[in-house]
Amino acid sequence: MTVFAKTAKGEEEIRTRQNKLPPAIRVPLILVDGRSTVEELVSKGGEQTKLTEALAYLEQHGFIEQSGAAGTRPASVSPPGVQTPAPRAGGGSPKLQLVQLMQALVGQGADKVMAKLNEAPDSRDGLEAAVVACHKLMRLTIDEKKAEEFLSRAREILRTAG
Amino acid sequence: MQLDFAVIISVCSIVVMFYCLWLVLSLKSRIPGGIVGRTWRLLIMLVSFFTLGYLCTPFFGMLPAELMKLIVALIFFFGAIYVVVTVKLIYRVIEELA
Repeated sequence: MTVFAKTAKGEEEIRTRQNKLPPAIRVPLILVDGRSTVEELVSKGGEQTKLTEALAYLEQHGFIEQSGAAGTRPASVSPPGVQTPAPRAGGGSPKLQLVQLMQALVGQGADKVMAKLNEAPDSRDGLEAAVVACHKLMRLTIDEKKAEEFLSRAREILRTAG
Repeated sequence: MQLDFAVIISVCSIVVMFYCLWLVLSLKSRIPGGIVGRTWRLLIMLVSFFTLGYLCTPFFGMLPAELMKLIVALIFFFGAIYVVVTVKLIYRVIEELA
């Protein structure tokens, strides 16, 4: 089981965006938390190939590093023929859907709120608490209308996820 | 311009004000909008105004008395507005986070 953690460079990138990573690379970097295995990230992250490529890129460029026991490299997350958990209809785990919603609403200017989502536990209560905290932060520092839209759509995602 | 204690304090004030201006401007990019972002724009305008006002203070001795009184009155007035805006902002932030 491979577990990735952000390196100092990765944490710095989250804060400063100095490398201007595209969203397809940045979202996986946000999702890497030092706890989730690659397989869990794939189950959260929608398309396996893109996530795998993104993780490989991030590791190659020093944004993340393996923190678990030695195991599969991101380029070979699951051996041929082995099924990884299929992403849920609607684009992955509720957490990933919330991250994608946030990106769609505020684009690249939401590091703090994105970090709140990223650090939230995967439980329903944890995600609900993170959504409320993000809503408050968005109202204060981003846009009040977008904050309301985020809250209603995020609650819809959590309701659908059951 | 005679270099006395008041001038030294004025120069120090100007330096502090420029630091304050740098702070509000550098934080601006991190607060694109929302309640804080809106208020921040007003604070930037006020800090810019104060910086200009403070730049005049070493030359107060050269200004006509009436003009000097007007500048001081304006600085006090906008200083009061600045305090109200800041206190209201803190109030709103606490209200939102409560």
